[in-house]
Amino acid sequence: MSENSLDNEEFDAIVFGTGLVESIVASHLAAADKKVLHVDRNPFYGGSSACFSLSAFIEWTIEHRDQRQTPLVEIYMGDMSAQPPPTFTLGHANEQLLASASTSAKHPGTAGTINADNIFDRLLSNCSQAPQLDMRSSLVSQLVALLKDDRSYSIELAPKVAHCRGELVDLIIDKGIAEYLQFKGVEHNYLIRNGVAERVPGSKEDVFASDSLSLIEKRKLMKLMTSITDDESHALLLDGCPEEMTFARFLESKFRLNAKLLDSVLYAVARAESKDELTARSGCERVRKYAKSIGRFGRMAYLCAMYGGGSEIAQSFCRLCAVAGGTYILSEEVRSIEKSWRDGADNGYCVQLAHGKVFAKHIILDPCYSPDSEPTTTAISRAMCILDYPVFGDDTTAILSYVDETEGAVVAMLYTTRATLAAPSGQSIVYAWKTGHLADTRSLLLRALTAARGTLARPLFTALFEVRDLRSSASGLSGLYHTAPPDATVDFDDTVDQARQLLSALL
Amino acid sequence: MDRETIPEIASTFKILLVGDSNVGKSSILLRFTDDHFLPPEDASATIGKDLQREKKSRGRLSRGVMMKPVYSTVHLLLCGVSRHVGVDFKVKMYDLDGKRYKLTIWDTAGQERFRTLTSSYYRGAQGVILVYDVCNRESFEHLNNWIDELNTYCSSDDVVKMVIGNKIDKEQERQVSRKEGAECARKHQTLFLECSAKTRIGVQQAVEELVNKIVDTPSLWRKAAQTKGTVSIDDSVTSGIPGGCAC
Repeated sequence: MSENSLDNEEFDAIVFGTGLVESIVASHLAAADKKVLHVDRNPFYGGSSACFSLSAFIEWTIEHRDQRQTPLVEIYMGDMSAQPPPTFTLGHANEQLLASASTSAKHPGTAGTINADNIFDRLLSNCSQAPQLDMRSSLVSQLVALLKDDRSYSIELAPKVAHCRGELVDLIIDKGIAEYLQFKGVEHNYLIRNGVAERVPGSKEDVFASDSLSLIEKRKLMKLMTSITDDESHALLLDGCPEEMTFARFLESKFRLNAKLLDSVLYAVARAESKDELTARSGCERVRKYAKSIGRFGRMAYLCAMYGGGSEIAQSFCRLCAVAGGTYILSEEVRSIEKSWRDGADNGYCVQLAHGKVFAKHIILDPCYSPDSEPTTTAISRAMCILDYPVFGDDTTAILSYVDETEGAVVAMLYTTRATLAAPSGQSIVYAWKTGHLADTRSLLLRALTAARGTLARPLFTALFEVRDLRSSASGLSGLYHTAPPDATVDFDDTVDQARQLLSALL
Repeated sequence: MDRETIPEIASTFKILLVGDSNVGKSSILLRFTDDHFLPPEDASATIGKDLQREKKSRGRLSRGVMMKPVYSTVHLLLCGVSRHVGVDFKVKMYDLDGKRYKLTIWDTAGQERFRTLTSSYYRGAQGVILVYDVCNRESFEHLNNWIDELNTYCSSDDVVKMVIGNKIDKEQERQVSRKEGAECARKHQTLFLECSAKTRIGVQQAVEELVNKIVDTPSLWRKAAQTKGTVSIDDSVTSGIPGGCAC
């Protein structure tokens, strides 16, 4: 048997895509003594939560993104606060270009030296509207400056942080893979209102120490924290609350919070996506969880993985799976996934890979791997912006919530720096994301980024794109399970839940 | 291990093994850490499933050896297909100049078979051992690819590299001369040694040389200092600033 062929091998399960959900599922299957093959068509791990150097991120926008899922990427070089047209708009790749590109397809980042001219040419030949000729030399020099520190950037497709008392942290400890990972605390939580970023006090000590709160505000916050976190008074509070009462209404009626405090609790602590999203009960649960998380590893509620969250964590689960005997292939062409029948009986699935034909009882797949997958109307719009200055501190990580006065909307944000080896020293990366299509959220996201950077920092490189949910008509076939891309929440708990649900069906 | 009997650990080094399948990475690891060798006919068609993660008390990471091969001959026969010895990483204490260093030596977990090591595997490594089989020319020629990958993913350019030609006990089957190996090492500016995990020749010496070089490379230490302030989420560690309510 050749080492490098899989021909006719039979597996208990084949997992397609190395995103976090798929990786958690694969590792659990292997640990349960199942024979697992884990395949990714890309040359990198992480799927839709992958993490890249800057050049590899640009390569992703051109080469690796699923065009059904992300039909468009907009790149702004330099200032975008006045909302100019994007410098590069990367739409559907030209078939011809793709063909010529794939012959020279390289592992992102393996090219020994990064050539800014090459990358610029790639952007140029793949964008729908090329920048003006007289702009080009200045754009190239901007790229050269950025790519000088190429590998100091860790750019995440779906930035997330881990709740200190969340399911993911418990799972990592339980599986003994803490040794594979390094985390830093997310030290700050900011609320941006009326163009001003203010720290949200996380603990009672913070409330005491805060100089942005009046005495009355402090007292109100204290009362709220005590009564929601205390089991007895918490139950009492909710007693008699109508089931449909919103958390915002609850906070107003029970604690008489002013607008600023209400926004802090609702958006920065409970992380509501909109004013009416949470019921009183679910809102209280989130506040309780937040409060309990503080103090477990320090004074922060969240942890951020070094070198880029979801991808690093997914890779840890992949390694765990490999240690338990799972087989890994990346850059693998998936030719077909078909139901297999033997003597009229269901024989699982037959999968044609570049490395041979393989069989499996179960298929777990990221819907990107189904040729018939089509985008649904659900999407998350995401923005990433490299700043030339660490606005919230050079050696820190922060989560932010931006309240937009114009639309009354809220945007979730994450700020990373060299603290997690995400940006070169002296720079920072700000992410913003919002449920909805890019057409509807573009200006909101750009306003959020502009408000976050304040007056001190200049944007160097900004990318906007949307990630649509895909649905395959094959879903519902026995033994075949689809996964969903990372959601809009700031933490990984829903991801772990999804993996658990899949596993309960599989094991 | 009793805390009292252990001198303070001066530093922890992460050392990686890379190289093609079946060159003997796991054997070198087992030989160095446990002075143990799996018979070749078993090692080449090894296990995977038969290995069990050492039972850990919930919420604690056991220190020391992470994996224990528990293998059954019956299952080996059934397996047929080459499966990897599921060694994760092993920990070994190493004393030098009155100081004690903790070495965590990481194996590829079989992810090298289709050249799909995770980029996170390389993170934070201070030393890398590139292994080839002196009886397998291809494994030697592939060293270039491994060095490329290494240079792409290792967080520090100063990471200490060492090329090791394994299986010199099979002298009559040799396809790569010692001179060629040494030349390759010189070209890539790495340390070089030949060894046999089977007869234990050279194994101890290889790791010693590598560690000495790491200790002599101050920039690797500075790099380690940069990752200060990381949170250990191992529950047994409860250091850090106590937060929450104290009132």
